Amino acid sequence: MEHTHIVTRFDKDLNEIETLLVEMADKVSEQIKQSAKALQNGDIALAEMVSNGDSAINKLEERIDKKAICLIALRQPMAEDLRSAITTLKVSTSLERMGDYAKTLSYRTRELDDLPTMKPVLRTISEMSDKICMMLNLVMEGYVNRDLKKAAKAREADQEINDKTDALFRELLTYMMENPRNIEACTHLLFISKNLERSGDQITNISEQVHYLITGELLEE
Amino acid sequence: MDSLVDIEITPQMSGKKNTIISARNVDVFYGEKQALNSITLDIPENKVTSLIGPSGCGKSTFLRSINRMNDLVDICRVEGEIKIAGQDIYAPEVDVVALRSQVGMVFQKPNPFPKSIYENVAYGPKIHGLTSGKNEMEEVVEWSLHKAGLWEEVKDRLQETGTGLSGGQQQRLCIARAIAVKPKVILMDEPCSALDPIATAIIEELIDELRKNFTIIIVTHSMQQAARVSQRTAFFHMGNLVESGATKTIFTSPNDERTQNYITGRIG
Repeated sequence: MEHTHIVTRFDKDLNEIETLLVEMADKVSEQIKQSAKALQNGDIALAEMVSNGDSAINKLEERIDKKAICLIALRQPMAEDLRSAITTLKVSTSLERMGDYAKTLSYRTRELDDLPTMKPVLRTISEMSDKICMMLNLVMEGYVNRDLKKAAKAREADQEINDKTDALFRELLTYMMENPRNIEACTHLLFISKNLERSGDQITNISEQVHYLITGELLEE
Repeated sequence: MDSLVDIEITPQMSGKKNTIISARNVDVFYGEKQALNSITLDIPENKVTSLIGPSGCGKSTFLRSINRMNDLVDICRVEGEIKIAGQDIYAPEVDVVALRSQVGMVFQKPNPFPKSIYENVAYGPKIHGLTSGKNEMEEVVEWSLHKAGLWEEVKDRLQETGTGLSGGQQQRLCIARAIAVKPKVILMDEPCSALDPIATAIIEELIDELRKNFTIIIVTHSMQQAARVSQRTAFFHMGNLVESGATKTIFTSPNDERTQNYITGRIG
């Protein structure tokens, strides 16, 4: 924002909330990265760490929401300030859900420990999680710099995640048909791919919210 | 609706449908100083329009141009055109007294006459000769006090002095006085700035009720009040009309950066 508020504390409050949101997104990105790494390497200790790390994200969401509610109550924001407050509330909810998906991925990594490994599937999942992290970074850059193009790019990239999820579904089906002993592992992997697909959807939500923040227009689904 | 001169006029006679007041290229000067620059604005009928902007931006000057209150200022000169229901209110044949009976005004500080509550409300209909007897006058007074949401509080003490009421009640008495002559338009110049939050809420609720019968234009410094009570908002800045539109648009995503800076409290 070019101009500063006459009440300087208002700027400080808004900046604090935005900084916390960026911090939360960084944490979520790291959680996704680490959970995928744990799955790839069968690293149970790392999966455990990711599971435990989720509470920090939940606490951040709570802090952000409290601050945003306080800002709305005390400063009665208008126009872009109002859109900013609403955006932080909605984005923090999306990020929190993404944190939950990373935690679920870690839980399933532990479950997969004694089951047959499916290397090609793990590779695709790793690619998907890398893509998710890239999209999240992109959309958050769009948020911080009020950059519509970056936000749109993140949204468009979601199609690739959806396509990969569909491909993975077909691939896992063949493994299950091939050998019923694969069913348990494949089911876990199916849930994992679904969770990554849902993460992509959350990024789309964040991107639409950033679009609203910048333009004041609500994008239709 | 009574005409300002002898012709019968209706809202449909103005340019846009449902527009009751249309201002075209209105310039207002105080001596050499120009206070308003070419204001063009349509005010829709039976809606609340709020005029917002920093002190000295011209919003009160514009408001006062609508019932020719500026005529009282010797050095004031108005150019351009303001039509109410199709009638140019600055046309030479217009009777200013008749105009003001159609365009009532409520001021910042409640200013009831030092007379009884009844006489405060009866005053307008009496001088405009709108009633034909005591019974009819009593009906008008009761109707006006009802509309102003004051009847229940004062019905048993109509002969007591109006200045003895609380601030909020006095302001509602002034609203009752304004509507007693059945105007088309009510102008409100910061009507709640001297009132506490409860009295303010009562007036705001009343404004919403009144718009069914009247067109209301309100000048306010409270952004929240403008957002709460009005359907249309016009932002004035340094004598210019910067932006006007639906209140919800102005307060969520205004077009002009000056509006954005003003309503969000930024240094522009």
